[in-house]
Amino acid sequence: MASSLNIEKISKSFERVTALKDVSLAVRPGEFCVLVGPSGCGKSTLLQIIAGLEHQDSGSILMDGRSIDHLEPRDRDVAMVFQSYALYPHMSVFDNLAFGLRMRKVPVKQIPERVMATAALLDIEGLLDRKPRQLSGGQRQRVAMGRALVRRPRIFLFDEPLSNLDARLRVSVRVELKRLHQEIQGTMVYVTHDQIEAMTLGDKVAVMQSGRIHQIGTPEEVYGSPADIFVATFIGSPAMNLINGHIEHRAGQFYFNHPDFNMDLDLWDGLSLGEAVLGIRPEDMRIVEAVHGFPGSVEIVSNLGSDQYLHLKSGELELTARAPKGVSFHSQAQIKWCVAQELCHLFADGKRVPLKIEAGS
Amino acid sequence: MKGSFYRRSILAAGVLASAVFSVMPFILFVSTAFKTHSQVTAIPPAVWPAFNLDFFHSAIFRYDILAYLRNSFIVAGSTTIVTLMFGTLAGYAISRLKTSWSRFILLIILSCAMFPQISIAGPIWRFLRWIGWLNTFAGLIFPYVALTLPLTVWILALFFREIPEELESAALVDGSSRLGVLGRVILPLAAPGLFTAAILSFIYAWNEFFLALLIVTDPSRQTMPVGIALFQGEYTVPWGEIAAASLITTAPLVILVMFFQRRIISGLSAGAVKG
Amino acid sequence: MRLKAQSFFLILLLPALGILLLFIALPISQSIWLSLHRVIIGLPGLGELFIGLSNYRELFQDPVARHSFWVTLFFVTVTTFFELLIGLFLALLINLRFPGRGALRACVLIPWAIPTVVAAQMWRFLFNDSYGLINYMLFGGNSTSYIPWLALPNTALAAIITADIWKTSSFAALLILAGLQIIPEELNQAAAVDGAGTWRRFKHITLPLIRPALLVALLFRTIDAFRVFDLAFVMTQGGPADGTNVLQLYGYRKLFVEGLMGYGSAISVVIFIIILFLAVLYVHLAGRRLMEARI
Repeated sequence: MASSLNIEKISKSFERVTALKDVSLAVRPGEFCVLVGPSGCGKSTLLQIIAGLEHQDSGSILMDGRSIDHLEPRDRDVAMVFQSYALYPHMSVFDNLAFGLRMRKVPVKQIPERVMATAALLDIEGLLDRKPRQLSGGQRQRVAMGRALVRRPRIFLFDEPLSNLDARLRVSVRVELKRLHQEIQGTMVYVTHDQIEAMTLGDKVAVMQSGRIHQIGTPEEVYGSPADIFVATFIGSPAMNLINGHIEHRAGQFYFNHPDFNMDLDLWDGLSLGEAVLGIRPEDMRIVEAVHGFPGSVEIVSNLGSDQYLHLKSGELELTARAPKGVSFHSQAQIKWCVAQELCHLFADGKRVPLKIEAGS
Repeated sequence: MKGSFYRRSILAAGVLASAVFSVMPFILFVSTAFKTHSQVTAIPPAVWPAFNLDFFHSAIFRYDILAYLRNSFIVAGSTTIVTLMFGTLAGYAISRLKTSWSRFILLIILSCAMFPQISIAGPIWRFLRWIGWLNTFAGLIFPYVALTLPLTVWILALFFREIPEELESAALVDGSSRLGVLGRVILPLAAPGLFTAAILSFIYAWNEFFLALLIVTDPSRQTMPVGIALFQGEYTVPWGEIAAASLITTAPLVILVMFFQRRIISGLSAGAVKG
Repeated sequence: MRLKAQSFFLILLLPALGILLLFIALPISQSIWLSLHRVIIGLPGLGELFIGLSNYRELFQDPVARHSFWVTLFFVTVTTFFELLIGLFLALLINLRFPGRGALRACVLIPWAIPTVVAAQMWRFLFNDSYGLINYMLFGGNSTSYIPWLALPNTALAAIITADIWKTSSFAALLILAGLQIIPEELNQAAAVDGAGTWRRFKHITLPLIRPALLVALLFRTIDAFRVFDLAFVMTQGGPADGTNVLQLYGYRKLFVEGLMGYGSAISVVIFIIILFLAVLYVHLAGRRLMEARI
């Protein structure tokens, strides 16, 4: 039942604004693919194009290998969950769920069965008689999902479905969504600006900005090997520390140079001299008491309960580091920090320079 | 309303005066329908009628008022239905088209309501004569539709605009055709607007006189306003019968106003507030 | 597919635009065309002779036509003035909160709802020279002082003016009421706290804020007043001595009674131009800001 989706070089402009530029993406049957990026990056537009609500300027959308560009939304067999749920206010929950089935001329006898089954799955059986305005935000969200699920479409589209929920609800619905996906194994394209949702939900993550896809990969890949600076800083919270410096050469050895920090670069190949950016994730920074290390002083301590984050000043650099467990830090504490070479991320010309071992494999 | 006794009595006086000013003349007139012949022309004018039904009797059987009533119902009712149909389609289209286009089209439609009846009456009359529609209901209904469309389209477009486009997107993705979206999602939600437009159109068509006078000259097809305007007695003006006919013709309207004043007012003010 | 959606909507517009074209746009242009010709109903043999602007020339020199214009202008001015005044008063009244407000609203709507011809007959009855209530109220049982309202030109005009004021003040009231209801209660409260009495609040807060609504009421009323017909037809038939021979009635007579289609059309075009001029004036005065804020 689940289909594959191929998005090939889709471009779309509105008036003078380019919303999408040559966007390509492949989603395998049953895969959960998340499009993540800041507001205005074009992800919602892409979703609308997949659904057929907008038409692309160029490029093609293929479902199971066949182009669906000429098909109306109703003929594409996709279901969509909208950010504001878009429940039909004048219909009961039951009718909201049944609407798509009736449109597709599902035999009348089957409708109650299917609606009940979906309602049970989402735990909304008791709400079937109510109207949307009588429901809470969380309940409406589930009805919106139910409306998509009950149709058993070939592709599910989600447009920021969790952003209108309060924080706690968001976390629990996220888990439910993941469970649902495992159960029904549908092909899902999910759009969000929240990178946590992207990381926890997606089998595959596509990071977008300004109408372009910067990187496609598994959550581990986009986190561990970000393709460029945008992905590096967008994924992961707190954001990756960036140090703007130069690659220089000395005594047959490349090294990264900055007034307050330097490091040998023997784990990288094919380096050239010039400007570069070094990225270090907060959890990879090591705070040491010993003599070796770069000096810094703690400006602010952020205590999240589970972790502590230290906002340091090291010379000109402002860095964030995750504090080692069991030690408490106070403001103005003088510390030393260092980092292992293999945990660093090197960017030249904005793009990631792969480590020797990565390039090799 | 709080305030001194002085203020409140001024207010009460004002309210009373307004109510009397609005309704008294009318009540005095229609009460004539219940008077006896002599009471009609009496001085001082008899304020309290005798509850005599002679005039009704005469109006119905001698002047055939019920036929006029029937004609008015047919014409006003049909006009309302047709105007709603065309107006819904047009209003929906205007609410969903690109703004510059829709504003322009709306302006054109609205300007159609401004023409003096006489500037269209002549050619319409010629046209109807040419296609043989003089003295037919259709000959009145279609021009009336043209006259009630502007306000109807205006009210409905305003209502449709309030409905979020996401609902339509959801219905389209769920499998509905565009027309289906209109029927299943938009219309149920715009029901109040439809209702208001229907009432206003009905009242307009019911009361219209100029075109009715010109287009239908056969008494058996004429509408109430024409009947009432042309009421002829044998020797004197048959006030009693006129009053009876007036009461009969305004009864439906008064009922409509009583029950739907909120809707009527909101429909009319749609013009004022929204431009 | 965007094209498909656009064409769907344009198709939806067709029925309405079609009717409007056929029964309004086309007739208007035909009227204009007719006004430039000599066409007499009932004398088809004369054909349709093109005579350029001579219908208009004749019109502007016709003393009856000029009198008709002044009568209409007078009518428009007086009725509009009083209707706006009374309408404002009624609107202010209805806007207050008091028990029985709904009943007052219903009362005020009645004059608007009844057909104009009924109102006309009603006032004809009330202004009757022998047993009309107006005479009774003014002169009591003294029937020799009774005024034959509808038999004298000036009083006849007064009579139809009264009838129109009665009928249409409520409509003006509704339009102004809409504007009143938008004014947030807090503004008045703030002013009261600041020390403004009722009159001052009215003058400095209410009045300026309902200006748009007043202008709309002014526009609608003026345009409608120029189109007056029903009242004059039923109450006075334009007489006596053309005392109430308003423009549309005059045009009706020329066009349908005397069958002078060309000349009658010229009258109708003149009325149309007057109304167009008023509308343009209004849009210019009220400004584009009213139009763009809405749609």
